[in-house]
Amino acid sequence: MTLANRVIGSVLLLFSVLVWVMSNTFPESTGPVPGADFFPKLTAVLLGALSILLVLRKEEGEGSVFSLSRKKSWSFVAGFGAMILYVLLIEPIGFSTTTILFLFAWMWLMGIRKWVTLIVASILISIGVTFVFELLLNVPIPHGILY
Amino acid sequence: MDLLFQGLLNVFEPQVIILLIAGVMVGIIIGALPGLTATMGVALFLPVTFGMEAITGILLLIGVYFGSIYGGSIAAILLNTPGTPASAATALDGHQLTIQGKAGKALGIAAIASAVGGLISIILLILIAPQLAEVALNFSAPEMFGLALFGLSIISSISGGSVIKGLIAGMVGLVISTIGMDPMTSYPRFTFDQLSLLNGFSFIPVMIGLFAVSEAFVMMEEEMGEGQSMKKIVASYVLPKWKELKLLWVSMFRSGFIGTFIGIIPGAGADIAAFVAYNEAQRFAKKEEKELFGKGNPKGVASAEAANNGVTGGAMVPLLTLGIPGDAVAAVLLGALVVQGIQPGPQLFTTSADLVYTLFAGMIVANILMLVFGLSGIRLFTKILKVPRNILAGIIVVLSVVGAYAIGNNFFDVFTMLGAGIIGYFMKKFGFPASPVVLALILGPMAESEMRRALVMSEGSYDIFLTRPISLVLIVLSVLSLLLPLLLNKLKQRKAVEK
Repeated sequence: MTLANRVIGSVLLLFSVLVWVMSNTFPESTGPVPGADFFPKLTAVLLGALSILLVLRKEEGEGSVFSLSRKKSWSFVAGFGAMILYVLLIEPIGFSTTTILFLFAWMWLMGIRKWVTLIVASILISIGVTFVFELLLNVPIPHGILY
Repeated sequence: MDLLFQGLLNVFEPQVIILLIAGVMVGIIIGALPGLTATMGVALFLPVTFGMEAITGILLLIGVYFGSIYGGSIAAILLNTPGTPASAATALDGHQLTIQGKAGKALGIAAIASAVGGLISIILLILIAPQLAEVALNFSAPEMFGLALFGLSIISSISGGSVIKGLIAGMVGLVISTIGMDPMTSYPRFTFDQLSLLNGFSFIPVMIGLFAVSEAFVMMEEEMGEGQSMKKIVASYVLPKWKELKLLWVSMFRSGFIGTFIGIIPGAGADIAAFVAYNEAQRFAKKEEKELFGKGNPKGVASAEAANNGVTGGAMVPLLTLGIPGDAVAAVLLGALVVQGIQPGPQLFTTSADLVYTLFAGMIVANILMLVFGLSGIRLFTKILKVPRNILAGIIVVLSVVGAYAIGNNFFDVFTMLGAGIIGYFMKKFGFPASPVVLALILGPMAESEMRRALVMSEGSYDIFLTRPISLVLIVLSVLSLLLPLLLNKLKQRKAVEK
């Protein structure tokens, strides 16, 4: 955990420096009252200080954060990818269709191999969610070319 | 009293009561499913309420909130896997009772204790809140800054494992909260000329991402890992007898009070309340009874459940009267209120007293509904525990997408939700808590604008925060609550070294 903390702390330190530098371009206040740059700079300084503390500190913990084996972790990455793709495709294609594909992919990745379950569950859930939100609750659902 | 009666009539409008019933049921189900917390349940159902009238929508969410706090006890008792962190204390004795074949008794006691704790806390809420609101009516900018600061300072006590990581999470949240137009001068900060960033990140998609999507990723990881087989549930459904309950009333009442007062303190949530009440029950027990704790003592279940439901009403006190969310669920509820055009705060009690009292009445009814479902639906709820998680994870993601889109009908919010979900997953992995980010997003803008407004009042002199008694007290309290966990840690370490 200590190594991870050091990496995260260093990245956050850089981030806080960046915030400070960017805040410098904000117009300065004209009166005695602090202007637009005050609060971002204050938080940047505090964040920077805390990041340095995180880098310097030792933390004992279990060796590895991620529990999956190498082979399994590829399907986990695929799950991440599927979700990103899902969100990207909703706008052009439409919610209901992409939802079926997404659910199918996630259930398959999580070890469901029965085709009937995969197909029926993903279609039913997609239709169910569309129906409940759009017709019963009047909550809009994004539509694309394929509903 | 008239107001409360009128509120009760409002609650029994068919549309309102039906949704309240639905909310409590859904809440119990969400709470019962391991991995789904009350915060996540309320965040997922928040978008559902957008098309509804304010009071109906809020009561639906309150139903989900109350139901899920109780529902957590079901998984805790039957599977020894608490559905929500709040019911970890319930599992200590509850699961032992299940092993002894008395699951029905444990579940029945949990339902009754939950309702008793919840009702006590709402009565206290009704008594305390209007008084506090009256005091808070005189607050102006310096006091409001003090309040926001106090709200932020509790980050150090809700950080769970590592205080420094909690503070970092909160500080990142504060930086993010400055994105968008400056509240005083309208100068666009960190917007990179993007129109969608002018109003900053709205915190509801961030919340859905941090609390729901990240949990879906964790579920996926667990499902792909070593195949855990579902534990078999062997349970009898015999309810507790009146005679057995008689021994428990004192524990329930005491724990209800403990829970309420812990709930009022921002930063201390249901999980802490449950453990404190559990310890107290143990301390008050007779000598020969003390040893039974952890081995299936009904008092353990009763005190833990009465306390964690007691928190529900307590948490509403700072939320409704001061507009300060004490924990993550309250933060989501604050979001729900704001979306409906209701700004919680002292004015709420004068301008919309009818709404406030309808909420109070709804909370009472929600607790009674919880008791009814809890006692009658035990068999049904044990079935819920068998919902396969490899289907559930996908459903959570789908609902998150619908929810994020519904807020403003734009995809920017959906991408925000996705980003927050991915970041939230890695935060979980590396031990950074999510609640501080949300608190910072809500309280950051408030702290900044109230501070600068106060400085306008004083023409730039910082003395204004120290010469006004209430703001001074709040600032001192903030410093104390910020440092307290650090001091306690040091003390613990020193004691450990001495031993």
